[in-house]
Amino acid sequence: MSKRKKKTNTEFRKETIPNITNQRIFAAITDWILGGIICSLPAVLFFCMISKSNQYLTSFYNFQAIGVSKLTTVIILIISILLTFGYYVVIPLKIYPGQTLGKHFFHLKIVHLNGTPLTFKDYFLREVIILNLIEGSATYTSNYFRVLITTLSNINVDGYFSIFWNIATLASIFLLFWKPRHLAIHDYLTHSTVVSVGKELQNA
Amino acid sequence: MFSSFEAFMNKYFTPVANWMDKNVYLSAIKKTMVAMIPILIIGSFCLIPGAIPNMIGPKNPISIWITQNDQIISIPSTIGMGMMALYVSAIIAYHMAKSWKLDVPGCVTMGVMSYLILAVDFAKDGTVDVTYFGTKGLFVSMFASIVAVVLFRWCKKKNFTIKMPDSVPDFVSRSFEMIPLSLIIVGFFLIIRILCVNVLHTMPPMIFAKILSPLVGSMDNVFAYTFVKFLQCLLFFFGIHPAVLSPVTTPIQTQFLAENIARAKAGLIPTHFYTPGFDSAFGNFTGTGLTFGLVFWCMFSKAVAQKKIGRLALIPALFGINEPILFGAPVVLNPIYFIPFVILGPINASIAAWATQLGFMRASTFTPPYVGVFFEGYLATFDWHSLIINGIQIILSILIWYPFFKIAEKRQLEQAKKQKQVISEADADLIKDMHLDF
Repeated sequence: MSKRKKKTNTEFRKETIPNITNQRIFAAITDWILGGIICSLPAVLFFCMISKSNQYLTSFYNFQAIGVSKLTTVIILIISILLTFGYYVVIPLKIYPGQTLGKHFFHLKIVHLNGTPLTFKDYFLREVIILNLIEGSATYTSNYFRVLITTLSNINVDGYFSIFWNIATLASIFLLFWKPRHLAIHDYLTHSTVVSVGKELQNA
Repeated sequence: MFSSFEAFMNKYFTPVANWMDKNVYLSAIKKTMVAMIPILIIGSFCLIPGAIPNMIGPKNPISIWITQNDQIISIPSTIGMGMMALYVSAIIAYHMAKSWKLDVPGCVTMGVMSYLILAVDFAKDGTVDVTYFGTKGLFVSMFASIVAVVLFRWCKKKNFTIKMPDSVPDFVSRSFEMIPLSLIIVGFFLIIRILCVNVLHTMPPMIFAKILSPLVGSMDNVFAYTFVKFLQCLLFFFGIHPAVLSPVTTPIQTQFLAENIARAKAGLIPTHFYTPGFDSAFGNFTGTGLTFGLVFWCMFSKAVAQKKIGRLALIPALFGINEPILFGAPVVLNPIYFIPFVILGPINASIAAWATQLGFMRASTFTPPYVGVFFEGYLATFDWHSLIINGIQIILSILIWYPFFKIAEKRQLEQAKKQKQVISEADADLIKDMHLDF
């Protein structure tokens, strides 16, 4: 049985060259912070208006704790998830092609391995499904999904999700920085990568 | 090995430091926070006597004297640190006005006024509530001052002024020119205040903490806590006092403390480790970045300057004040101390967080009064394990700082030796030129 052929440097040069520098880490941190602030803003403002107190929205469970109905909490969470979709799909698709806000500030871009741009389906799968539901520790916005599932099902899934997300995110980081192809889980599953702007396709 | 590290620092961090100096906003913030350091140090020193009755008992004659004269002793702290946000608003506006070559008195006035519109509150008896004049109002002070000067500049560019006839004296026409500009700036901040207070039922200084509260709230885990400590040390390394983050982190810590107390009263185990008492007693044990190790080694240094700094910084370090060693060693902007301060310090600080998460130490349900190290940790948790944790932290700090201290000491001794040789040669030439004949 022949072993699977390892990608040589020559073959890799025909694809895009992934960016695995500090820029990618800083871009991810920026997206975690900005994505969290922007997508949580309506919920925070609504909480301020109805709580009329010095309480802080440290968790989306605080809504029901102050007497907000389950339906209202679910609506707020859905609004936050829609904003998550806007931040992670609409912005890289329509506003800054290939770039979330964090990647835009650090001059990075998401492309297919052959240098072509991603489609709506690719962004949705990569940024919403995989990054938020599988590698949830990599984004703040994954919290909305976790709280929504707990609220709807009345089963506290926080602990299970935390463990799964931490393991998946650590595995993804390992693949990104220590494996030869430098592709995270969300890169592998969508045949994409993150490159420095202007270096979408390098020829051998 | 150190030369390659220094080359690494020069390649990646010197450009960041240079970029911060060239950026008008960051440069103004940095210069302002540096100007606040004497106020912070004096204010912190004035708090130390207040800790003594807590440590030796209230019936002691010294404690009685301190308690009777507390108001006078703490005046530098009350007027200094307690009004810091007010000074910050003026100084940031000053530096930005100078950078953009705008009218300095006008910008400073607008900066301070904008801050006061957002921060001033009135008690039920009509007196001015100064809650947001100190570190609690730092964030809103910087925001208001920066936005006021930006608006000032924009209004000047758009020529929103009243043109006076040439016969009117210059100082009078300048005042009248400011009127439309002032109306726009004051109106803008009044709208923000009305929105915050009447619609969102929140004082403007608290709105930033509220906007960031979901993120900070999710940081009640060890990795996120370590990241926050890393951020504080990184800011301090570049000369920006980490107090700028406290308006955001302190309210969340206070809420977590309240939740811990509620759980304890209900007979449940408190779950949040991120509380004010914990952060002060363990996260900032002997000061931000846990710098006691450097103080310890400096006291025994062969370099004269380091020895003096070490001995001077000892007492403040025992009360969690480390500005003397940070600016005296210096640690700030010194690549030699980047790793122990910015990378290893936060990891050392997080040991207590791990201990609490793993159940070795109780979570904090009390914010202790100002006392020295070790006492503070015990009073915050009422758990004797806190003494073990603080002990581990202090030993680790001493071990961590040693190799970096030795590099710095070696450099200081080499510099001192070169200076001596240079002087001797200069003296020798001088004597030669004098052609003394005896």
